[in-house]
Amino acid sequence: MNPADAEARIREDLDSNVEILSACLSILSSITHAQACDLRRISFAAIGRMAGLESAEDSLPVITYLTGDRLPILEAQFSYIADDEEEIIPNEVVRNVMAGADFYSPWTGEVVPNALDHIYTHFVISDKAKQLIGAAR
Amino acid sequence: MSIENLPLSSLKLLPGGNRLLVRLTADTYDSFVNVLHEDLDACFEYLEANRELRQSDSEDRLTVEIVGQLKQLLAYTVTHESKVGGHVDILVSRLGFSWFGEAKIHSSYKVLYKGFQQLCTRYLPGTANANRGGVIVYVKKGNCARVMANWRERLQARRPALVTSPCASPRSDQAFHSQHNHEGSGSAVYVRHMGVALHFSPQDRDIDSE
Repeated sequence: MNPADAEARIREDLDSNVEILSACLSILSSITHAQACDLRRISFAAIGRMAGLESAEDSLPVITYLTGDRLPILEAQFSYIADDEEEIIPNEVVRNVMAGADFYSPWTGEVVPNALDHIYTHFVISDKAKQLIGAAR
Repeated sequence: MSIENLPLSSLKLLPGGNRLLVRLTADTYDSFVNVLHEDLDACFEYLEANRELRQSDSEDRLTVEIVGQLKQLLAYTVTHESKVGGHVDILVSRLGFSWFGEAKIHSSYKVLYKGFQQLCTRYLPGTANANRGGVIVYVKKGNCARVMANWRERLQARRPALVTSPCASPRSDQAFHSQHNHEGSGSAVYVRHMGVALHFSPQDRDIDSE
């Protein structure tokens, strides 16, 4: 798939949702034209900036689309951040913590109270996105 | 809320935030199916909210609407009438996991049983990562909850070895689960039976003529 194919798919899928369509196209363009170093870690806020969105709510359907199966160019990662240290944590752990399970600090082994206050999500580009970037250059 | 980086505790409070997080972490068959069931419920609610426009819609038209929403907004790989042992109404795939759906407009319980049998003996392989499905029941005649309760009783009566259980969702009065051993694979298959309340009979105009 090349960027034109990806754009065509976005237009086909989202033609009845102008705001989401426009945001997804902006992100696609940003990703295919970005420097590799800028794409190592894409924050939730960076997604909003690429898409020209001001509120976090508005970015949720955009992330849903771009991490879905139709055009999976982003992959979510989760990290536990505390005391200036960071540890990537597996989806399964996040799922369990969201369902109410305890979360144990990867450094001390102790239960972290209110763990969801210290877990963040960011995005990396998928293999499909790397293919798009390659085709764009 | 500001778009600057938010911890999950804040993200999950946004409208749709919790569902997004569940979706982003869904990398097992169970979690994929759980998210899909929530998404299907949202599609049903959309149909129900506009039921006055759906009165003359065929089974296929209603199903295509659901497939469109799953594909376009929710970005599933989903097909209508895929050839899998016949033409399955809905086939959703992700990460090598598959979910099969058979949809019927309720006209009799015999029709629903036929749909259930189509799903379980024709489309569902019943193997690992392909043993989950659903029967979608479009109820245009009214009292969707009663129809689904009756359907559960009748299914249980026809198949005594099959186990049914309530559905833990906000739509629990319109849905239930069943589990039985697949004839071909010998393994358990899990079916979610989901009613969609499409009855529309406004009675405000009758008052004017009183």
